[in-house]
Amino acid sequence: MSMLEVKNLKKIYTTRFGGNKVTALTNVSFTAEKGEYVAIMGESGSGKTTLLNILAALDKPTEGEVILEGKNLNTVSDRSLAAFRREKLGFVFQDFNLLDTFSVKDNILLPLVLAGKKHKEMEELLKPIADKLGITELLEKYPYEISGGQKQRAAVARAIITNPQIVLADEPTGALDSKSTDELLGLFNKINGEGQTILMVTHSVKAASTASRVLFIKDGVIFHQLYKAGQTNEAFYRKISDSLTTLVGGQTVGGED
Amino acid sequence: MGNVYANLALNSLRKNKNFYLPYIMSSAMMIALYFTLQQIATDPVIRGIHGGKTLTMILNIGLPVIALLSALFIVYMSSFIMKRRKKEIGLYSVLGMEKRHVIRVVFLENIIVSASAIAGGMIGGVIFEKLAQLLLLKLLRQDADLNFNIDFKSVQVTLIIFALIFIFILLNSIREILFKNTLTYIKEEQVGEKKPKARWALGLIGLVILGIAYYLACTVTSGGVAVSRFTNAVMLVIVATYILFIVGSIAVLELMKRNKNYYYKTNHFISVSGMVYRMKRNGAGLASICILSTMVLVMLSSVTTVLFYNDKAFDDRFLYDFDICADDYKHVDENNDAYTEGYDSQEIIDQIYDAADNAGVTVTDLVSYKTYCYYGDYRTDSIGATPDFSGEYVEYWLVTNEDYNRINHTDLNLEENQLGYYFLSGKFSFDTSVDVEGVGRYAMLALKDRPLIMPGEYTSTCLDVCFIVVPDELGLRSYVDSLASFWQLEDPDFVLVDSILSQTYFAFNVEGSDEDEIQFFNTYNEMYLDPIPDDNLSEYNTNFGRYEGVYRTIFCSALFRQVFYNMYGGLFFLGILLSIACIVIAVLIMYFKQLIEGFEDAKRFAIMKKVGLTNEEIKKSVYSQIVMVFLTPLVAAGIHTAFAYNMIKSLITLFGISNIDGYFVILLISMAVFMVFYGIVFLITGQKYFDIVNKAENAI
Repeated sequence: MSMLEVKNLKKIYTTRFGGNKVTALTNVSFTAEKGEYVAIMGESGSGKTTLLNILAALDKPTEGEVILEGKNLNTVSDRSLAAFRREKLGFVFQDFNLLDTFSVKDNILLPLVLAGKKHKEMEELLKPIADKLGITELLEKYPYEISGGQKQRAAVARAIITNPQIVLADEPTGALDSKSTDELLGLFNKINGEGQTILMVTHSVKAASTASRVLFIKDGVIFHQLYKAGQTNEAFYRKISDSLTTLVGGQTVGGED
Repeated sequence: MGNVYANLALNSLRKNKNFYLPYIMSSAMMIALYFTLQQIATDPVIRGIHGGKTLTMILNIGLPVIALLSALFIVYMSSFIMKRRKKEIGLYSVLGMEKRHVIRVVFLENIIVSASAIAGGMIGGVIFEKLAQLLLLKLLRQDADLNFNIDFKSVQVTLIIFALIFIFILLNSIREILFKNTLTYIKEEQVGEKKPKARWALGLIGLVILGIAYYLACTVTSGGVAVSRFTNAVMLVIVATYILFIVGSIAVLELMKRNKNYYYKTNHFISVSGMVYRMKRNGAGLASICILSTMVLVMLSSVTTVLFYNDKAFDDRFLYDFDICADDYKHVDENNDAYTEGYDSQEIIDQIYDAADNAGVTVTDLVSYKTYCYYGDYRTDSIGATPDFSGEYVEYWLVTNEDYNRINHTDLNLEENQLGYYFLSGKFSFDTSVDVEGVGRYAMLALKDRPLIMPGEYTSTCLDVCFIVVPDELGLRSYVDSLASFWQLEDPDFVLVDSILSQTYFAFNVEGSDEDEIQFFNTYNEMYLDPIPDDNLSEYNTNFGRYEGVYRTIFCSALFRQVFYNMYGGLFFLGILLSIACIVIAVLIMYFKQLIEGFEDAKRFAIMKKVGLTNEEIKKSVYSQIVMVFLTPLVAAGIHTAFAYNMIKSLITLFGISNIDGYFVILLISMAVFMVFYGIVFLITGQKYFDIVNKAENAI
């Protein structure tokens, strides 16, 4: 059984007065295996954010279903949705979304506190993760005191401390300089190497080239996918670029890299 | 081209109406308040009534206070708004506007804002003044006379003061734009918050200061002590409040944070860390709300008490329709400070009956007594003759047993070496035996009835008065002689002016109406009193005069009643106006705080939601923080007021009200009313907060 199964997702937004209907997702299906690192690429407006929101249970699909480890997200009640999100999913955002009222440590512990864990247990969980992500020194600092790259590492720590089934990353390198980007992508590979399933939405070819598989989404449908299958990052990078060039008809996806 | 700037200015005002509307409205309110006070202080109707000048004087004390409060607050609000708008001004610069263009826009904005504030304030002021005048006349128990005369001097003064305030604000904004790089403004709002530090030592100092202030207030024993300590205690409380709100609160929260098992609980985790930031940001504002609330509570309760006890104070003061006090010595030569034998009291009594005959009224119940009066220290075991003014001191009034019985219709019979005593305030007492410094040892007997009060001075004295009843004429003589020799005075009877006042009191009723009393008063004054020219006492000088060079006072209850009403009514009125000013400021601070909290929490809400909190969890935690933040000033104000109780009570005695048990009830009612009011304001301003947060939430 796949870790994540996405079946015939359709999402139609209706404007408030029921006038215009905008189709964000036409028909999206794919699966992700346990331990896989999947990148989803697409232009602005291609529907990738909508897809991610549905996967994150922040939005409901018009049709179709998302099955996470055999659990259909449609059947999770609104009441337990937040807890579900907290326990099964980890999030990494473009703009970090760290709370400025908390120290780095408290930001990372937030999901555990919400889950009602004991303080001792929290410390035990925190230590190896902080070491792994190289933020042990930063734990007592506050978000405004650290750099963007450091913030994002703290956010990754927060995402994985609950040992989620899947980490959803939304343009995680979007606000980072190239050095921090490299570091973060290295971290993603590292935690992925330890068995963490990651699903990343990006329009950075460089970011996508570190994934084990890349899905291309356009106009609400997945129209292509590439497997890395042992290629180097550089080779995979070129292949992704080529695919984008040919498939999109000369258009590049996004402006960067 | 000019239109572009005007449009820009108007647009940005419209865009920031959440800030500008309350700013304009509150400025207008300040202007209206000030104008009202100014107008009433110069209102001929109010000046015209008897004792109106006393009121004018009281109001004139309040005017600069209001002006200063308004100036501080308006400047505070404008700087607050400017700070919020830095990004916008930065954007103008980014879009290529030069500094002079930005200044032009800001200038126009300022003009529009100040003009509408001043216009609104003046219109509101005229209406408010009329209402206030009606209320005041009602308080003073005068017939309200509707007239709409606007004094142009008040208009002028108000305009000048507030124009100056707005010009200052304008110049300040221009200076800001001229000398700072406006391009950097665009980033300014994004700068993160610094982590607040817990400053334990300072917090502790705050506690100690508060303790000292509370101690000072609680150990006040008399009006005099209250006056001498009031300013210090108030300053200490203000300082302590600011320290405790700004650093003390954070220290306490930091302490909670250190207790890991407490802190890392769902309920405490978000609220404690959230509170640290809220307190850091709002500490000063909340301390201000607390101080203002305390001021309102103290002012409202005390002026209400004073008004409430108006009649009682009057009755306490005037046991008879009239009283006359004559100094018991004659000036022989004013330049030499030499005095001769005093008057025979029968001579003055004859004069009173003569004046009554001339005025066509009948004098009844005439009593008189001779008294010696001196200041001394108060202790339970002694009567000091030489006050060092460090502790309690009291005015001692010596009367004979015979006079005491005659006035009070009692049959007190003191033994030799026994003294009777009566404290006006009722607060003090003596041991059974007391050493009267310079005189001897006496047994003390507490009396139930008090002899006559001395005219005039009592209503304004800071001292408690103690009547000492001496067994007989001989005893009185020897008491005074001993004192005189203690002070090494050669001629006790006539050279006592500096140390012991020797006076005779006369009190009597005049049958008939107030008009008859006034008729008598005028006749007597004309016949026997040479007025003392004194500009400062223009209102009172009919009460003071000299007869053949000797100082004499006469008080007519019919005339003085109005003075009482004016003084107490004026105080009440001033208290209410100042309270309104304080409330307006407190409400606005609260409103602005809610606005900021709303905007900031909206961002935080979104993050928390993404991280996996439910809406309910977020709301519960954040709302309870908001409630906590806005309730602390109220609670602290309540505590301040409770500790101030004793001091305020003592202060009120200075208004001639000796027994004010009702103050407690009035204070409780004031607190309850204020709490309800505060709650309503909190809910209304809180609605603004929820609106902002909900709007942002729906946008997620």
